[in-house]
Amino acid sequence: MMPLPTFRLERPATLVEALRCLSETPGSLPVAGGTDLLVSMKHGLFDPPVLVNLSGIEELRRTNLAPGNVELGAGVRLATLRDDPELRRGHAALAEAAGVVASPLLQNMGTLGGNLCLDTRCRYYNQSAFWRNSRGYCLKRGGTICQAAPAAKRCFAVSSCDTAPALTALGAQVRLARWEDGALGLRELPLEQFYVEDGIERVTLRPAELVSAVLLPVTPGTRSGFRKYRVRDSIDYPLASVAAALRVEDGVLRGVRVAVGALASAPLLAVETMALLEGQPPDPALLAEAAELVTKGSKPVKNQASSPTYRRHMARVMCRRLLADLVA
Amino acid sequence: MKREPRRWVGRPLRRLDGATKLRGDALFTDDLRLPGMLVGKMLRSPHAHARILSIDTANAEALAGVKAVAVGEEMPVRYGILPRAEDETALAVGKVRYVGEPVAAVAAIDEATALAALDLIDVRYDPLPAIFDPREAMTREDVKIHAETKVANIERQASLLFGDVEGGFAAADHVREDTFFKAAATHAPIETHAALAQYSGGKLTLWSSTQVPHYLHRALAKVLELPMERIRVIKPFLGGGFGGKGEPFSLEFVASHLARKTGRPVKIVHTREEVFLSHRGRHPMHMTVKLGVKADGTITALHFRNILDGGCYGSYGLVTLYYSGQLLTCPYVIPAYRFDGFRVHTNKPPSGAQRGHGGVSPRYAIDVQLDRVAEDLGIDPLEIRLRNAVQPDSVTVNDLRITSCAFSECLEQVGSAISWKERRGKLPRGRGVGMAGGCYLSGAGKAIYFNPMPHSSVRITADRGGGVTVFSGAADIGQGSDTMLAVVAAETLGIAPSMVTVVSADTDTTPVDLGTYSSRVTFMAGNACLEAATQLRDVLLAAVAEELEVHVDTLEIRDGVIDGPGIDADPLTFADAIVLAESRGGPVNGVGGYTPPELGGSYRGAGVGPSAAYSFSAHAAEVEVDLETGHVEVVRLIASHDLGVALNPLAAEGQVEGGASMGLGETLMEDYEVLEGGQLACPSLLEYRIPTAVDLPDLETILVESVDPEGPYGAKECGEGSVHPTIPAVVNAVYDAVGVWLHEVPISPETILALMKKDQTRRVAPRGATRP
Repeated sequence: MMPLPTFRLERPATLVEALRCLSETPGSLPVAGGTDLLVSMKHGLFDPPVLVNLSGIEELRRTNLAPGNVELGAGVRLATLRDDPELRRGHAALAEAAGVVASPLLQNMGTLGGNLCLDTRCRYYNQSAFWRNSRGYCLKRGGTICQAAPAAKRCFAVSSCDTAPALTALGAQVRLARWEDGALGLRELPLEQFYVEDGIERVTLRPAELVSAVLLPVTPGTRSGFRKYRVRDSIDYPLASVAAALRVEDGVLRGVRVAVGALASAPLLAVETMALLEGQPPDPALLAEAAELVTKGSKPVKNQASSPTYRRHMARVMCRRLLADLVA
Repeated sequence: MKREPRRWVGRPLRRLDGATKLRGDALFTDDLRLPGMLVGKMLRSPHAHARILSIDTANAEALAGVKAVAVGEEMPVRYGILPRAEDETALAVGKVRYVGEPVAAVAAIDEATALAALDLIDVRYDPLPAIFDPREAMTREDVKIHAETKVANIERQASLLFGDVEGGFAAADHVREDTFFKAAATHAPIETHAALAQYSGGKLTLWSSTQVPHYLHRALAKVLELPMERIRVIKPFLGGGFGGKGEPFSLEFVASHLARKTGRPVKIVHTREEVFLSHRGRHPMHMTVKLGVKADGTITALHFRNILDGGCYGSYGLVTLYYSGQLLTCPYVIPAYRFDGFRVHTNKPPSGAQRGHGGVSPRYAIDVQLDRVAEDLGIDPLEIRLRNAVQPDSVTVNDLRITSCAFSECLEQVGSAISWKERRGKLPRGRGVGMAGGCYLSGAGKAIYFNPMPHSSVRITADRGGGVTVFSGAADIGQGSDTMLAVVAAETLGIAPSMVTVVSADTDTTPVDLGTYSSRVTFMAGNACLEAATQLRDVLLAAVAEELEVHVDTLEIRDGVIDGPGIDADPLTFADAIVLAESRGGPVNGVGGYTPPELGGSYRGAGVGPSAAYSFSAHAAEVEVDLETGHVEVVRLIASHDLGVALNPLAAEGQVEGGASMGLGETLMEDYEVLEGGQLACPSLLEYRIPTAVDLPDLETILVESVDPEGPYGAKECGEGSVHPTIPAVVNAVYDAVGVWLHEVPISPETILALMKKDQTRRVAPRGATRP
């Protein structure tokens, strides 16, 4: 087994305490389920002097599923989201996404906030220190070139969390908390503004800032779903994913939101697809045409299993099937 | 053939060590701790091919907590599992040949210190050009991975010719030639390699996760330059090998050397990445198959060409090379056969032996080609297999002796289970069924090095409580050979398996066994155990007969009680018999050994392939292919296996299921890919994908019994042959479903989509070409 580097573990009981810990020690990192971070630490990708364990903070695990005001604490386990009957009914895309993250065992440990903040992934980055030393380091960690696309000036590591595209389609907001000038600072922003389409920068979190909750709009009649392509039916990260949410009102589509995952360094809102469908009757030919547009904004490179061409093809097929299922 | 009714043989029996393992009581190598134990770690090459200019260990040695550092020059003696290919050293000497080759090692008081010390070792390299494609390596005289190879990097060329091949092709009504590629796969055992060495009182004891304690024993003596009697090798509980622990490994020599150097026990445990780097898995094979048949499908000739990517060391490769050719004359009768093969060095981790050794990839090529030929001629694939099926008591064109054989029955059984006649070619587009056959040896007829000893030996002792202990050198690696030995001993002695203790795989206390490879243990150690138990029974019954003054032939042991004339009134137990026998002259023992008969031809290469018995198998697969994505779901897999007799049907089914699931993984997802530069693309169980439980279909096992005349209670192998037919069965089913042939494995949905698109554009054109 690969050993973990040494670190000090802080175990705050409140959010404020956790934010203070993070702001007091530069380089410290929050940890919740640990299913992503601890593996990366073994690989030598992170070497934080302090880990701030968020698992003991009760307020982060609070959920409010009252109609019209859904709020999910960032510390909620993925297994909880997967199994919650209310969510499965009203926000199916999220429950479905949570249920296909890694494997059931990891869903028991992994949290919503952790999944949203999952580091971007690449076969040239998620490797041991020995491997990266042998290969040469990459832009994202220690190097001056991208190993996947040496001519490029940017990092193409892939956004690989499953809940983010689902929540983007559902129109979610994230609440961010930080400790600033001796006070708790909160801000809320739409999930698509939380992410940056860059494998290194990836999120707009400020230093010592945490995702504390996710807020979901509730629009009666909304149907949603999530589809994920991976080689195995368990454990694997996505090679492509699609989430969609819509309503059928008076025979036409309303509130259409579609997002694709794992084809870029952030989940992408498929604006062309959404525009084509909005206000139109759910005609199969139109759904197919709209699905063809779902990969318009994505240009993945070869840094995962499967080819970029095929991953995009899978996104289009999954999109058409998902839309057809949702309007059925 | 029907077998005789037995008391224990043929009854499903849970493995004797199952509960111990489930409770966590079983001690694997990494569970062992000794006082003063140090942690060993190895420094590995970052280069695929480079000369070592210098190694400076001074800073590492100066680090507090470091007890010793080792480099290659300290152990320069070469070793290798095959005497003809001893081309490795424990740590690299002079140059490195793959990314990850061990270069130096440290022993320190803890892991953190050992790892810190590795960073302080300064190795200067002069990088050399590296080659990763065997077809390129065959001609690159300017880049020599080993100075000893005569032509470029060709380690060995093998050519075999049997019968009139040219005449066979001339007599054929249809000849078809195609190329196939099967990528590398690796074993992925759940336990990583581990070794713990102790050097005390001039004697070395090594606990190691090895499939081959005896070969390891010999290699340690050679490399460490210690006499064998001063070395003891013990295999503790072991968590899976599949061939990946079937030869001596660097860590075993290094731990031993560091223990001798420091005088303290040293343990080295591989990380998962190091297991991937150690490899010795399936050779990538670039294959060309030319097959000639009569109009009715009868095979007239086969020419098989194969280029094996051996990676950078010999390992089992010469045997792999010959197996890849020799095993193709079965289970279909090939009247004329030519094989041309090359094993070539590249700058990759060494390829070696993996479950189904040598035969798995060629079997894919042949059994798909057979379906292609059948399709060309309009013959049913089951029909063409039955027409060519090898029969019992026959000899193949390359002198393999076939005795028990129920191959035709295997085919018929899977055919009927999957409703072949009603469904093949008749399912809606996207659904298909496919079939393939296979065969495998029950232990190699020849040992790896020449010696006059039995291949397996067993000693059984009895104690006064009525229990017996079986001592065997055979290595239980999770396949259940200890339980097998208990069943054979129990059946022979007329006692319950729970009365049998098995002590195995300890070179100080157990008689020699060549180890767990080539599916040899049930057949060979089982036979040795049968002989030893028979001898013990005879000793016991002789004592009873003398006591009761009856003829020994009238006595038998049944359920732990001696049965015979005149003893109904006062029953004698098995324990009583032991006491009687012991009172006549000391401990009661039985010994037995098994040596395979002299078999095979006298041509070069004839030593690889002969076996005292062959298993036969047939698999039928049903697949669902998504027409829009190319995704293949194997819906059903039916695996029949002629294993002679199932000594323990529960264990046998597990072996067949395990073989089939490994085959499915290799068909659908497993690819041990090496990047340009020499790094492994997927050195983890996250990215090197073996199927999870949800990825496997319902596996249906059909055990077919042919009762082998020489196997213990009629048994043959079932652990490796069961992986052979899986790949072609699935590939043939994909053809039935969507009409495309897959000439590369693992199959990818993307390839299937592309081929379907191409196929649609030339739908009207006839497929194949039939010679007039």
